[in-house]
Amino acid sequence: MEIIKIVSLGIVATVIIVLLKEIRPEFPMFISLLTGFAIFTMILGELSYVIETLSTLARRVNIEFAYFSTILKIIGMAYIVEFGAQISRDAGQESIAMKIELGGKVLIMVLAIPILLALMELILKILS
Amino acid sequence: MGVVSFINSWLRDIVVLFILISIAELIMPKGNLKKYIRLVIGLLIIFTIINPFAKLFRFDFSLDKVVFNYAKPETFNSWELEEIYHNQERQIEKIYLKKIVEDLQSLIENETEYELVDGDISILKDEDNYGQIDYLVLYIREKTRNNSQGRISIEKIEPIEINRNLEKDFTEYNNDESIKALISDKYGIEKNRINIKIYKKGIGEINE
Repeated sequence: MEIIKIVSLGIVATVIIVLLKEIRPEFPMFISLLTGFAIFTMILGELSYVIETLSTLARRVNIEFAYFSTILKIIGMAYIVEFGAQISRDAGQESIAMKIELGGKVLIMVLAIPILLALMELILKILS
Repeated sequence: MGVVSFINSWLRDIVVLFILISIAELIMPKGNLKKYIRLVIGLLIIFTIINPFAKLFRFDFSLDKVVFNYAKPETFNSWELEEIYHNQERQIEKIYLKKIVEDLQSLIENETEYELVDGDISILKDEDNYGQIDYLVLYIREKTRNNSQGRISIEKIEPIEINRNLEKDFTEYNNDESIKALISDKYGIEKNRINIKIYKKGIGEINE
């Protein structure tokens, strides 16, 4: 059972972190990083199944596929950014977390701007 | 009927879109970036709702194309771009070769007693002489007479296919200086880079 593996991994990591916090304050960050990676690799297979299903659904209807894959890309980027920002935050580096989020926001906007402009063009064409 | 199917497809798009979006909302991370994802999803919804009107007013609007135009070049993977360029080059080359074969066909048919069945052309691909004909193999046969013995027989016209295996039906043709000179004059190819093969059954039939 995947879910039991994931949850037990998380609980074990939490217990280790709580225990280690008093003795060696620098270890908990590494452990949370490792746990994050481990859980992520565990769900990677399932995640690709979900994404594939969404893509086939999107392809079946008239929705422009480039558009939908952009949304999936943005969601993926958001996850990666959140992951990095959370780790920085856990280590007490709020400012670095903010910078990571800023980077994520800018890159997401780069993906979103062409769509925004295309939509503007369409609307202006209809109105004119 | 047209209106019904129009509304039908429109509604179907919207419904499926909302199902997709609800799934996407489930897998969305919660945090500061959520509102950015929502922005893009909102754009998608607007686009899906107004897209049929564009069709109604008969605009030729392809979102993919416009997005591609506006996007920063690096947004697309370099291998994707490379593949597009490669495909384009291959298509251009194919059309170019086809045009040369057609041109040769009309030239040979008009100027000589033969007709072209097929042509095998290799072109130079280096920077300076790109597109110049490097080597030419022509498969010809003598023109068929349609009005023999007062009857009109309709010959089946064979489509021209490049790279078909023609070797077994065709043989080297030695009496080809005039055709070679003709082609050499027109395209500026040396005569020894032209190879002409003739349909086996065709030799001598013209005199019967």
